[in-house]
Amino acid sequence: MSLLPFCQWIQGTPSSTFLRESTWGFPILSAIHVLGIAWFGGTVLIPGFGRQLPRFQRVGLALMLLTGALLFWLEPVKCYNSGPFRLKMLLLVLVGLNALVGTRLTTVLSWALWIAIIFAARWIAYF
Amino acid sequence: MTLTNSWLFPALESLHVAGLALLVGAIVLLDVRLLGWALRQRTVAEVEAQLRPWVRRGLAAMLITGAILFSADPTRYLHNPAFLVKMAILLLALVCQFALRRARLTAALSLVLWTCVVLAGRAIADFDIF
Repeated sequence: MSLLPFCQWIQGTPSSTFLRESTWGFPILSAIHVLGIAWFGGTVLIPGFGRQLPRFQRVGLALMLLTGALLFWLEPVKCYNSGPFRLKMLLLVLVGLNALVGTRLTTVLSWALWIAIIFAARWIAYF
Repeated sequence: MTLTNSWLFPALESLHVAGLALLVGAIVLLDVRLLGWALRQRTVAEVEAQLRPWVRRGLAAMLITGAILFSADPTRYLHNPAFLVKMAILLLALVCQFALRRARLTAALSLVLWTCVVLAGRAIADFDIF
């Protein structure tokens, strides 16, 4: 099954329509999404704090993933058609694999990946 | 200058978010240590010494990119309720961070205030009336 029909199916579900048409759905989800990176980001950007995540930072990561999934659910067809969104997902897979496999990326490379993710994310709103 | 119509604007916004992850990321790490929630194998002084340069860098990135973003259209921001709320809470957060003694109470206050700064900051785009 191609991804586009799947995205169109999601977009047609009552939950997706509800989130998209509600006044506060997007503002609340996007605010918590940014809050997630603020709570969690220190552990991936600052050397010496990434080994074991404190619970507070884990909560930040969980909030980011949950609200990210819901933001996708809110407008999946736009995301599907967005170049920056695709790039962001690809980069997230790379940092996710890095975390799972436990490769020790150099600080510079890890920084470059996260900054690129932030740029791609911001670009979704514009292009 | 038409900064708002150029790719420079989202680029600056991106750097602003990266600075946010760095600044608030460093501050909440210090807060959870001060509260004794985590990182207890290191002393508060050690954690603070490790984080201080990152707080400085993050704050510099935030203030520089924030000032340029604001200068793109000051009137627009001064009429934005989310922006005004953000500036008020930011002032409190900065006082809490740099003028008050580090303790459990100020650490908890810092978590709350910086969280509100981030939420109000993102809401600027949602309260843009132009």
